Amino acid sequence: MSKVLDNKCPGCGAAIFFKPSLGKFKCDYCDSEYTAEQLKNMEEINKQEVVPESEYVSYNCPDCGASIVADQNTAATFCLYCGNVSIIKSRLSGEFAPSKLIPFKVEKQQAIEAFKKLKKGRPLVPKSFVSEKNIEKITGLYIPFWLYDIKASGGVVAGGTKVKTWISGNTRYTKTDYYRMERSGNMMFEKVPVDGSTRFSNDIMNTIEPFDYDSLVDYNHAYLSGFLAEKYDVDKEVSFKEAKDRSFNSACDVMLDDMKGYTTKNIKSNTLDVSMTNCEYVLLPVWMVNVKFRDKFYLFAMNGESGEFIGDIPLDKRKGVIIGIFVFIVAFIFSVLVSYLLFRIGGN
Amino acid sequence: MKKFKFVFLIFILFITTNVSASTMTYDRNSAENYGVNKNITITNSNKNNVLKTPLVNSDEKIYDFADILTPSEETEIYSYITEFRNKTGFDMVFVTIDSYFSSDNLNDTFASDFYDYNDFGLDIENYSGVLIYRNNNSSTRYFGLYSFGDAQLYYNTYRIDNILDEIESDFKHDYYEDGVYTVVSMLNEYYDDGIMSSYKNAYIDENGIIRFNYSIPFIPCLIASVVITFITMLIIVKKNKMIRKASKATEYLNKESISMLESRDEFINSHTSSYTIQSSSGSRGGSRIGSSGRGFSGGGRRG
Repeated sequence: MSKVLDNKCPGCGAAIFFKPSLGKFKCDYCDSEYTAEQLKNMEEINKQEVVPESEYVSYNCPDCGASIVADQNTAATFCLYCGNVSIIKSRLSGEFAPSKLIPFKVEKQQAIEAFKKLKKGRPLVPKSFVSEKNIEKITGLYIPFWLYDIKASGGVVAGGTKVKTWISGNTRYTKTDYYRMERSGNMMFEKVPVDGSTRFSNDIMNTIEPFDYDSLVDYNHAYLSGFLAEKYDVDKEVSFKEAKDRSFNSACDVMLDDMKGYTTKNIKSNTLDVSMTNCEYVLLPVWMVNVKFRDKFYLFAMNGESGEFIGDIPLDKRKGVIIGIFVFIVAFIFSVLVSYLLFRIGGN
Repeated sequence: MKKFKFVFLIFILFITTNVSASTMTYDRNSAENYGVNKNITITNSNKNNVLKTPLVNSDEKIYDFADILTPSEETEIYSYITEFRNKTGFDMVFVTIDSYFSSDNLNDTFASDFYDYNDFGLDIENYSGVLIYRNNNSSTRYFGLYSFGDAQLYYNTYRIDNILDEIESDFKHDYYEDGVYTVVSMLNEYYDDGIMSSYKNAYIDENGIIRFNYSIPFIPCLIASVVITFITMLIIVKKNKMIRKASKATEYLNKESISMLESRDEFINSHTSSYTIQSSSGSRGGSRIGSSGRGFSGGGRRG
């Protein structure tokens, strides 16, 4: 295994390869191009070091024999020359062996159709955004997730008010009763997901939740065929913080919901303890496409089981101004009509 | 000689006491159309009002039925009335009575009927004028100020209320000359200030009622349009932003696992506040309608 330069694409972080026809390095994920000089300058800025025991793997494709390089977290990839799926089994064994996964239920064509539908009902989507060039980049990917079983126990102390108003004669009265409320108890949260990869934003992964855990099956390499896969690079203790925070907030809500009949409620203090009772490492299916638009990258993800694409679509500012002016004119005419109607109803 | 002096004195007395005030009334039943201007339709609903309203000579302007004015007061008041009429072109009437009315509204009715059914403002467009009213009945003393025709555009209820505030003390203490002087001074000032801004689009119709022409309220419509546009664009832009951070794990809660071990609610204290509801009295309002069907503004108060 030869050492490989740690060439990550500065735009999206994927592995970047030299293209002879271009004379430059080109990223196959986001189509960014860089000269060697540019890459080197960016490496110096980021102060990246070549890791002696590099996780980059160079291996031969079993079908065509081409040399393929995969980055440190890729567990399954394609041969870029013949399209053969290659699974790096060492990345999916031992401590990195997932216990379960949810197989893809949405086919690529369905994902493409879902991506095309992003334009519907969104007048500010730029015209060229949903283009064939972007559509063909849609890739099915198994993302590593930690699923936590969590126990929340303890109590909260809250302050609350009950407000009553009434009118007597020409006076309005407001009576406010102040209360102190205490609740304590236990509850369980099951399979709270947190993605275990730094490559993908937690916010996007949160948004494509939930997954139907009834579809979880025991892990088998065969399911990865035709898809990319990643192994985790954020371990379970670090990822647990996010699951813990979410569970804590929900536990507080449960306690507050138990306090009925109050106009306002707010927590003053708590003795809630949130602890992990179990953790599973699984792979969950996601269709992804990273779209480059006006030198910025927009990542879209789709729950490979439920079938809805999400992401932040850029705004077509020119369309926005035109629509804004149009809405303003219509709103003004409407306001004038309403004022005239009120004038007539008022009997002049 | 003595006889001549006596007759002369009586003559002078007669002239000074009759220079302005008059309590002479005429019989409506014998007058054409009950002495009412033909522009007013007499119906079953207002005939009683017509017959109950004294018919007077509309040129005299001061009608002291309650006999509360001294001759010098009458003279001064007449001069103030003349000054007002010359300045504004509106008619002016001062009437006093001593009658018991069971409600304040009946005073207002009498005042508006007195003006409408006695042809005041006859030669003035829209029968425009002002009436100062005093009911000196010991049970329900009342005083008021009313405007008719175009005078309503200058003297609406808001301005009239201000005038009534100023003259309340004078009228309560029977200082009518001072009171009328104040009325005329303030009416002249308001006339110089012009029609109230809230009445800029108003006009008086053929029945003496205030009507408003429609004009586009630009500022409110602009504000409403900006708000609507902002909300609409916010909704449209939000459609492009689908990513949201998850802060809770509610969908992963096993509801059957919830076990509340302790639950305690403790009352701390209570606080009650109150405020008086103000009824909105905007400076823009319409006319009140008299029994004649004609509009008028103003009102009165006890005192």
